[in-house]
Amino acid sequence: MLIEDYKEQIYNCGRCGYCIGAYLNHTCPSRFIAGFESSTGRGRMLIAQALLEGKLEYSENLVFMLYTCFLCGACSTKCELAAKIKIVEITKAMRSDSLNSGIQLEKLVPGAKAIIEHHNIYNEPSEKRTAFLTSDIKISEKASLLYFPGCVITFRYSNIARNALKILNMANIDVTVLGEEEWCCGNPLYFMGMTEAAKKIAQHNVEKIREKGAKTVLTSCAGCYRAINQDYKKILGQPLPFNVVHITQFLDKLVNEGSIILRKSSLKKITYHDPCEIGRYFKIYEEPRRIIQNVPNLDFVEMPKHGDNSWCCGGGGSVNIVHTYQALKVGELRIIEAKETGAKTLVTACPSCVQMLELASKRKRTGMKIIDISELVLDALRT
Amino acid sequence: MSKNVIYEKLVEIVGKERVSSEDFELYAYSRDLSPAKPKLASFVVRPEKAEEVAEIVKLANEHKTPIYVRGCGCSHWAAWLPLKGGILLDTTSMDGIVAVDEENLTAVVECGCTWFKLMEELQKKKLTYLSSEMGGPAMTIGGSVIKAGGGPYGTCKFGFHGQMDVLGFEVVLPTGEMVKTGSWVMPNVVPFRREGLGPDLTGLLIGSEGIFGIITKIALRVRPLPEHEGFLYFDFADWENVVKVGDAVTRCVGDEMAYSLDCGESVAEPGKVGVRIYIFGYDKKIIKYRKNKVRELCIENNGKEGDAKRASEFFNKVVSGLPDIFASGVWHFAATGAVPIHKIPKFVHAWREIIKKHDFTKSTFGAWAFPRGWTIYAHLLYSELTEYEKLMVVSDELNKKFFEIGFVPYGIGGPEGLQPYIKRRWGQYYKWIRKIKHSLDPNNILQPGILVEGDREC
Repeated sequence: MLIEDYKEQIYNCGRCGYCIGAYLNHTCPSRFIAGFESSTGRGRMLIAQALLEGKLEYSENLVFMLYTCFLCGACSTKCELAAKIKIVEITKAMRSDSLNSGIQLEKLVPGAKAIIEHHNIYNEPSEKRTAFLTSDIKISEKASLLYFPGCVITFRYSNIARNALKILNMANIDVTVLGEEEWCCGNPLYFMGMTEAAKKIAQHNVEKIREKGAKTVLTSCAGCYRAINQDYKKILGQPLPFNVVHITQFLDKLVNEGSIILRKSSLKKITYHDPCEIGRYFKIYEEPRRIIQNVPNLDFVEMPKHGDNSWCCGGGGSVNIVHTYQALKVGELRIIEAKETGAKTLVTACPSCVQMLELASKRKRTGMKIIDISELVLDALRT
Repeated sequence: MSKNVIYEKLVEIVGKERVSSEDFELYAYSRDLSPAKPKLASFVVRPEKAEEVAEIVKLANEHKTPIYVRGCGCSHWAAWLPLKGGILLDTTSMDGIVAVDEENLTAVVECGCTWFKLMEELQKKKLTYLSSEMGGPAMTIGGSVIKAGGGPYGTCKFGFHGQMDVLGFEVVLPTGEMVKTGSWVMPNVVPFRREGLGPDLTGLLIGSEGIFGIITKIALRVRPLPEHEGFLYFDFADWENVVKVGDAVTRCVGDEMAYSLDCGESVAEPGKVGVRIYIFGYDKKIIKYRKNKVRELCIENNGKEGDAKRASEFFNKVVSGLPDIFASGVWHFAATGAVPIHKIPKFVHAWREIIKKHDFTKSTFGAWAFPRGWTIYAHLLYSELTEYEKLMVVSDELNKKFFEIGFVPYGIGGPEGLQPYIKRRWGQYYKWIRKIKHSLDPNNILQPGILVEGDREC
């Protein structure tokens, strides 16, 4: 069992409940939707102990429960104060172990199959991967900077890629893309514990990026950023031949260097949603806020839950595939929180967050506009 | 009666989403913070209101099925572990703040509300509850009060919950009836006073560890948020001088000089006692006077002043959660209880001897003051994989020795808590509690085996 690797940590859980937080039903989104102790980090450590001791076996219901976890890291961040247990990694290992024991939830099969067979979660043909490259965008065949849009942006939110590339063009930065050679980053497969399939993807993408001569991979997707930056190294067992940079870090640097000057915004009052996979995972909190604060006359207001205490959009951990309705509830809670700030626009830095929060906003009829940070920046460059 | 029938009935009461009998779920609820081995319930149920709790209790009586009641599971003495299976009642869905009465300075909360949540809400109104404990952010008020809890925060002045700040309860009795205690009992009267209605039945429930009823709502005294505060940190070379400071600070009962006084000696630094002091109040001059007075006291008794940050950082995080608490292993509080103000040194010597004998390197002897007494504890950190047996031996020896010297346990819990140590010591008092238990809970439904052994088993 993969959880054997974490045995010491699993037994070092003192069951203090820090992972649950003081707002028992509103700190961990998994507990918010499931309510029972099995949805908490502490509860999962006890389940892991029982699995290790052979008192418990994986069942479909247990796996179903494991997919109430958004892998958002709220529990791990809290546990940093206590026992520093890698709860998210242990949950992913449990998902892997359950798969190895022959249990796979039916709902997860089509997505996994699509990634393995068509290299994207939407079953789209590879030729469509370049559709976002309109004639007004300048791309080089090879460059030291490679933009990696990922599946959600490529096939559903291509405006995010176009905005990012237009900003790079405006700053005269040479950039290339993998185009049809780009495969899904593999993030959903890591979430599903399908490490072998994910490894093939990592090998492919790394090789193709190398062929392009890229020294830096830039992405607007928090999921791609985390998968390439964190999982690729782990699964390939070696350092990557390039750096991975998130668009918020890159734009922050451009603004700081004066390579782009943010003049004015057509937006008025905005709030910012921290995507879990760049926030809690990599502590990219200051960069997006610095960008926002550099836009003159923009009224920025924080939501009560931000930074380490941010609330997941509901799109993490493949929960929306298994527990679609409950995942939406998580997103709805977030959009209500955003609405209550008085902001008209919610800015974020991940296409999956945009997708989930747009859906939540429609369902709750908030009238809020959800945009990626590249749209905010491009607007401030043009206005 | 089959398990299925009880399951179906529970579903009828609270809905399918709030009942589970999944094996993995039962394991997730199988342990508390103590080293007690896992105990499995047959069902976990998460009621949302007192009326549902009452229905569950009636069902349990009908089917002679035990109920164990859990807040957020932060007990240190196996006080809710389902010794005899049955229904595990998770109260954390009842976590609301029902009312904050700014006029009468009271707050009514549901049992599953945490201290931290209440504190944050009170602070918005410039109010506070001044006597909390250090169970971490997830510690519920219901769980805390049912064991008469109290930590280093505020107890030097206000003592434990039972002493004055709990004004009344809404309770589901072991046979399913709902009652209130304190002034809440009277028609058209808000919960503002605990006494005046015959015997103090609020007090009967505080520290009862849930055997006499399930507390569903709690009325608490709140106070204006202190406008001024001061912190002091001192090192002492012996406990005798620390006791002198504690004695002087708590001598004017009702007008104690400090709000919190917390001390500790670690195995890593034998003979060095760190003392953290927190002074609060509403008048700057008084705070300044008290801070100087306590400082003089410490210096007179050979204390060496250190960085006050060591005190402020500690007290500011006691309720929200202290950092790095499990950095060197899992916690166990052995031999925890209360002793009169002058009695600490004997316990320290016993702790030092036992720890040395077993070469237990990760331990602290700690104490925090309350009016004319101390809560003392032997804090042990251990690796569950490699040091469990050793921990149990050391813990047992400490418990035996401390009871032999003479102290009042902080919490009792079940057979894997401190219960085995009190049974023969309590004598007629033990029998008296069992009699009360039997008369209130003839079927021994609530928490059987916790605090005292029941007359009849379910």
